Amino acid sequence: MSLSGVLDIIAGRNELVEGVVLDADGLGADFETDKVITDTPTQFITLSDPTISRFLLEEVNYYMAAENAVTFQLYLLQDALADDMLSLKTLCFDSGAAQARNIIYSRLGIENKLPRVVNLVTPGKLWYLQDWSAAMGNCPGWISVRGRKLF
Amino acid sequence: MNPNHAREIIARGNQLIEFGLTDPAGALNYFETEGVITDTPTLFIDLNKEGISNFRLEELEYYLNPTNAETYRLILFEAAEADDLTSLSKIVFDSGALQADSTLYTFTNHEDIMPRLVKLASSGRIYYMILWTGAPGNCPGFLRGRGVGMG
Repeated sequence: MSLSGVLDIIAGRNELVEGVVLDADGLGADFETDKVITDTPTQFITLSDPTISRFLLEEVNYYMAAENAVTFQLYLLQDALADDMLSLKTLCFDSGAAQARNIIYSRLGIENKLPRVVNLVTPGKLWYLQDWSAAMGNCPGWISVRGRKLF
Repeated sequence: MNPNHAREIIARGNQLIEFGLTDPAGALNYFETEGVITDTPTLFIDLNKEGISNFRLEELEYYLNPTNAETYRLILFEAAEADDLTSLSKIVFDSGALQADSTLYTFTNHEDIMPRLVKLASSGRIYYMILWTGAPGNCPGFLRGRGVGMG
């Protein structure tokens, strides 16, 4: 490996990777699709570096201001696959059920099974899926992920 | 990556980033402005290094000693955004309510809280807000954060 290649790898471990989906008024309808884990994800977060496939996922932050009093479960996936087992295999974050609206969730650390080593099938594209307990209505909110580059 | 840029990012990983405010007698009025979470943050602290936007916040300490028996909530933001939901998405630390006067709070490698990956909207500037339960009166105190640089 060349010296510059080694430098890239070492530097990457200290280089921030982030991705955000923010829908301030709900008009983007970014969080209003109800799916279960066996469905194919159709929505994704674009990372700050669209060429990145591998990174260490350290933080997942999210907030949903759903119009209706419902709860949700948030999944992050490394690929968009339909089958149950394959979907589970690509899972890199699972919030657990019964996440409440109007609460800021900051997930980091061992208790939240983070950090995770992520290897995206499509560079720069981290899929997400929300399983709502019932119709959420209009839903402003955000999902923000952060981590460090891997090569 | 340019080798010089890679070296710079590697070096930042061992560079102390610090910010802080100390008001020994309360005469500087750093901590007496009442904030409202939906307002745009107006108070900020400069980092010890110019040009730094990305860093890993590893430690946070604060101690406030108001004249009046009030409690508070301390919030740090990585940007000064006006909109309610967008403001919330910029929070990098939230003490929660009922922080007591004359108590030293120290967060270092706390599960689910630190370290946090921070990306400042304005390089070298981190915003803070204090939500008081009532008028604090004169308020000596200090607030200090430390971390390491990132690329």
